[in-house]
Amino acid sequence: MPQGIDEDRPYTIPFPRVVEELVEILGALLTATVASVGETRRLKMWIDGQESTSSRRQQVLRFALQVAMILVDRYDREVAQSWFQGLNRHLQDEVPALLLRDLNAPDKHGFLDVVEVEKRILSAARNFAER
Amino acid sequence: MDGMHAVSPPRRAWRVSANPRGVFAFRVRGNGPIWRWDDPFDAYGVLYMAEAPRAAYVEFFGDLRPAPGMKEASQTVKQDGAGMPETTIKTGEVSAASLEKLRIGEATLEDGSIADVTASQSVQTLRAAIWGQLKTAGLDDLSTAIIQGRDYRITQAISHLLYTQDEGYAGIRCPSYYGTDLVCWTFFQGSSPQLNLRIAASSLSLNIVSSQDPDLLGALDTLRICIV
Repeated sequence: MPQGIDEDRPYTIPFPRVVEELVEILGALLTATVASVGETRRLKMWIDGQESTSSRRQQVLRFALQVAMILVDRYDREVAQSWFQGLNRHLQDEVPALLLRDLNAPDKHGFLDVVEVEKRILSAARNFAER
Repeated sequence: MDGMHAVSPPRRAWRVSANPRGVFAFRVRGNGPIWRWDDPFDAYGVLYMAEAPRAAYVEFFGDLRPAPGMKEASQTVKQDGAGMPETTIKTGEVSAASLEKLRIGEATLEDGSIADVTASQSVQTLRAAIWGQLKTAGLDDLSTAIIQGRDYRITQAISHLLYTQDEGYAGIRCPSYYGTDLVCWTFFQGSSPQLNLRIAASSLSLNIVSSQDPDLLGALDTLRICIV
């Protein structure tokens, strides 16, 4: 049963902790895909504080952690990984991980687009978590 | 409601959920996620079920279908970060251990009048009845594709219209988004003459989902999802 989570937490903890917790749920490969980076070692550098990244990417990963926490609260990390990588009817048969990946590209999305995409993904995650 | 095609519900219906207490619960949207036949005004509850176990499984697992683009994206990432937790599930996979958290519930149903919303005469009746909402949503017509589609403003307008009819429809019959051979049934929470579910313990089953269940395996095969 869900224990109830603090959905604001991903936005209040340090970025290295965000990456660490997201990797614990999604694993390094899927987290790197969401972050739109080509090597998983970049994640390790963020976790260790050896490197920082853009505020936009940080926002994407904080949001991804919020979604992942909702799914893990109801299911487990394996279901969360499957959901992030699945064709989702509530997202016009798009894939949550790829939608999030594309939010990292500043030329593709304006602020309003980002807000709208995040809203849709959050709604789809809550929909799945309530089944 | 003149022109609507009404049918009787099946004797039994199924639902899959991760919440044992929520399998047979009528849901009111409130601040929660928006589902297809929810009442937009939160005046009544709605219970979502399927006509067969396989349909219930397809409805549950549909969002975990494999995505070819995901495979390609994963292949572009170099896994050179030693010591970090691995991604253990690929696109289109579900863990056998995760299934143990799920329940499939079965309920027996009383008879009642259910609106068959994708029947041809129903579609034309509904088109006339919700013309205003269609225009507001930027639609010129109502089709079965729209009824089975993702614009929940339209489906919820239909739900509310049917619920508030004097003759009191007990629910809605509608084929699944995933295929017309899979039929979903939605029941309104209400009193006579509307249908109430009989969920007495003697006629109810609630079981942990088994990775050997032929209906589960059939559903996952339909969706191209693998158990790992």
